[in-house]
Amino acid sequence: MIAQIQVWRSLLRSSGIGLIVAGGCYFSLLATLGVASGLPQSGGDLLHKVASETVLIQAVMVLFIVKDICVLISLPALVIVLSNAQRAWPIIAAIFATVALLLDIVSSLLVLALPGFERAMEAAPVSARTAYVVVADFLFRYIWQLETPFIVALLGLAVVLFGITARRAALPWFVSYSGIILGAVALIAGLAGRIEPVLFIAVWYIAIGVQLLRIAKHA
Amino acid sequence: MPEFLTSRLARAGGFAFLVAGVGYAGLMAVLFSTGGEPSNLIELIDKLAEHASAIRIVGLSFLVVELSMLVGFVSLMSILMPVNRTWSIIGGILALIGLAFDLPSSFIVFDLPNLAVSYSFTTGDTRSADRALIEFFYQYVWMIETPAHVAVVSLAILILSLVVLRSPSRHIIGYIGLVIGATGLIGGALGFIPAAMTWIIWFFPTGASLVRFDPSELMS
Repeated sequence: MIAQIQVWRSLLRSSGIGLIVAGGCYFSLLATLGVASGLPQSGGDLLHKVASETVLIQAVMVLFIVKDICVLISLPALVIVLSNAQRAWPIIAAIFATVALLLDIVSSLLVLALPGFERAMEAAPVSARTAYVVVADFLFRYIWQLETPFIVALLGLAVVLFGITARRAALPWFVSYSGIILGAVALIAGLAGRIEPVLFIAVWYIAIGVQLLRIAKHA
Repeated sequence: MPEFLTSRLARAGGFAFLVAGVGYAGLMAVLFSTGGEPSNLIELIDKLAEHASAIRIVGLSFLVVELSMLVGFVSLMSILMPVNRTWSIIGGILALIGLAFDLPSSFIVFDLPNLAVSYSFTTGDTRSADRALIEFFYQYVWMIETPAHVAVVSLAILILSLVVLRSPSRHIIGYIGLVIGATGLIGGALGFIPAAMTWIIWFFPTGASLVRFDPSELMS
């Protein structure tokens, strides 16, 4: 196992940094949510927010994409480190996380397209604007009420599985228990249609990221 | 990985990159014949109505090209692992991310002519709804998603080329990839989609050298 870790030392280091950056992005998002006027409540509200907070929304979506890419790049290292305790579950967790994060990237890109769409609505004939609101309403229902809660639940499930395997792999208790608890909270919240609790997974990202850096250092 | 499997994987990846190169060359020809990328909604609707079959072919071709690229990048990542495990994996994953979120757009492009036909033949609220939908897809596919795809895949080409430069041979491919990757990354970040067409210059030599790949080269 130690020989295997030594071979992957550089990947573990990069992944550790990637996960810490992802955690940092989440904390920035938490801070941004404090500045922003909360999540949209309807399609019309979504277009209104896009018009009044364009730069903020674009910055948030870019942060989401950077965070998703950092975590996706780090998944092979997690599988390598955790597969000494249990081979199947880290792979299953990584697949769940990959699906969730790819869906999240697509959602972020869809939201990034909204400022241009809102500007096009302003330029469209008044009689056609209702149709733009209908499209925005569909996107609001799809992204905020269906897809993102699903992503939160799936990512939560992946983090729970990583946390359980981390306990078996004899990683520090904080890494495993924070994964199990924060993942379970995200899973339940996602199933209940809430998306905010996913931000607390940042704590686990940073904890496991630091752990990967330590393993790389001592290998 | 056993040597014969590495050779087979390299050959499959090489042929996949060659298919992607031919596909992109074909797409470039179709794009030129239809007057290039649409610059606004009205131009897009006109193109959709005027060149419906060509646009459907473009949508399908992109699907084939991207699946070929998927095979090619997985093969290249695996072949380059003995040179540098970390960066070949990071480059490979970035390519897979860029291709994964671009695949659904091929289906959107394939279906858009139907929406344009509906827009042309309807009136009132239905026409407004068609216009709003086409506008959203235009903003998503042409203004946001495809430039992001170009930037992410170009970054992957850049990273994998840096790994190629650390291998004992094929340095010319590394330098080509470095220039193409940097060009695509900047082009994509600035929203300039045709930057992806420069990938053809990288696909052919990379594909050809993967087809001729000898696993012992990396060990020398």
